[in-house]
Amino acid sequence: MIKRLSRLGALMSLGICLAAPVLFFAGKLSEGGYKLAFNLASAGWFVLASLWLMKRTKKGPSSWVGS
Amino acid sequence: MALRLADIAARMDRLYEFDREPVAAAKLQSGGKFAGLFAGEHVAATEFVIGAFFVLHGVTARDLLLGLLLGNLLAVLSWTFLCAPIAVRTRLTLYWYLKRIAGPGVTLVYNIANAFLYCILAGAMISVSATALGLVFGIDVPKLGAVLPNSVGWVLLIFALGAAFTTMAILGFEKLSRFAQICSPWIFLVFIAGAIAVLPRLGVRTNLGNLWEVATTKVWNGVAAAGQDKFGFWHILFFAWFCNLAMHVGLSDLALLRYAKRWTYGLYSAFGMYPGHMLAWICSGLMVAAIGREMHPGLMAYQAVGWAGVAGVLLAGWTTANPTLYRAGLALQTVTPNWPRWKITLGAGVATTILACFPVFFLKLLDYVAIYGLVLMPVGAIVFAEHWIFPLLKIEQYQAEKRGWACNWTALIVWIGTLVACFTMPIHLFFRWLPGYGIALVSYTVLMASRRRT
Repeated sequence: MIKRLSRLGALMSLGICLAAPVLFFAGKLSEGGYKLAFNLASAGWFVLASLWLMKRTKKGPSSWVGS
Repeated sequence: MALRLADIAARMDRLYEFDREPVAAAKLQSGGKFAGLFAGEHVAATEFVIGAFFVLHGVTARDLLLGLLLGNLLAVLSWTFLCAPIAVRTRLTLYWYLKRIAGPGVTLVYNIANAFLYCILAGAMISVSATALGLVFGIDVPKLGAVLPNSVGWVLLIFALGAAFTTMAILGFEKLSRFAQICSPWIFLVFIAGAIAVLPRLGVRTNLGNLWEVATTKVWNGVAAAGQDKFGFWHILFFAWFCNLAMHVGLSDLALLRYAKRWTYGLYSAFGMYPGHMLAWICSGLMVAAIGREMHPGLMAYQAVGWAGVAGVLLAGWTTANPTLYRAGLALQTVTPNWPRWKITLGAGVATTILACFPVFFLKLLDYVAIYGLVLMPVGAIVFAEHWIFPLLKIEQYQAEKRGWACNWTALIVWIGTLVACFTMPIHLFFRWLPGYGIALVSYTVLMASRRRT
């Protein structure tokens, strides 16, 4: 359940990271507002993606790709 | 001497023991994993520099778009038709396959060359990160054309970053690799967000009606910065093609693609090329134009995205320098008897940090990338000839392995001779690898065929 929620939250954070500059470009958000939204969404991504991905199987690509 | 080489060869074999056997069928990976891996690997700190340099080299927008489209296509096709078929037939890393073909002597030379080149690359990553951290401490970034460090502050900054990156590489390579997987989609968004956010500053209207006009007059306007060569379509095409030359034509991605179910998995490299080596380069071009064409990745990202941009440059440098330092350490481990991994990584880190102090490596990054690919390319040609051409011409394969040669001198001579030929060619550095590949392919085949007759 936590994993599912953290995945949803992480993906939403990435969505905000993308939406914020688009809204700024469209004139719907100030430059300060865009940067604040991007910063907060970035922090959200790192926290939630860590919960989501770090707990995922340890067999990530680095474990199957040799040198 | 022979005993010493045998000793080194035995140590190398122990290091790479875990991937000595061909990959078993049960361990083959899905296409989605390849897509993810390629996508993550090709959005690095250097992307901030490469795309910006295209602007400084006076590329026109049309040349840039066409050159990147076709050059990246050629890179994808190189992975698909050169690297992947050999990978799925042998299921071996380049290390083990080259050993069969050229003997432990040549693999030793290859490892040392690779380690040195990795150190320079990691050094460039540290320099790029330093441009971001320098903003925090008010330290000036060396100007275009600089070779030596411009201040004590720059050197101290590089040493601090080098020490931090090296320490973290020693303490937890595996954990950092997983952290890098978390960073990569976000770093990609830093590029995208930065490019979108600077559009109003460049004068692009919200309906995008004048986007092409702005692109052709204010960004890729065909005017090179002072002291920079003028680049055109062919420069961009070749750069996009050879940017990962060591990996596809040079075959070092056998390590990756040996896990592919089919050779067509080489096509998944498009997931790295088009978002990373096309979109990210275009984004960094827009960002550098918005700060008045100053080669300062940290400032570019800060102006476009704020402090998250600074963190993006720093993390992009860190997450890509980390595996590079690790690989350099792994390659160096072959010539450092009985040293533990931490000591070798420390040595690689110190060498990398010293190299990073010299801004020439990141301010001449495009040339360095060309040289990096060029130096390792002949090995790919030798392996290709041995794998595909020798059976066709009925030349005996794997003579080094069968006869127990410590060193296949023909391979070594072809490698060195090709490099000498390439460095004397009267054409631009970017174009030399292609005739060089032909020279290596033909000369190795002819020399090995003539050895059969004598």
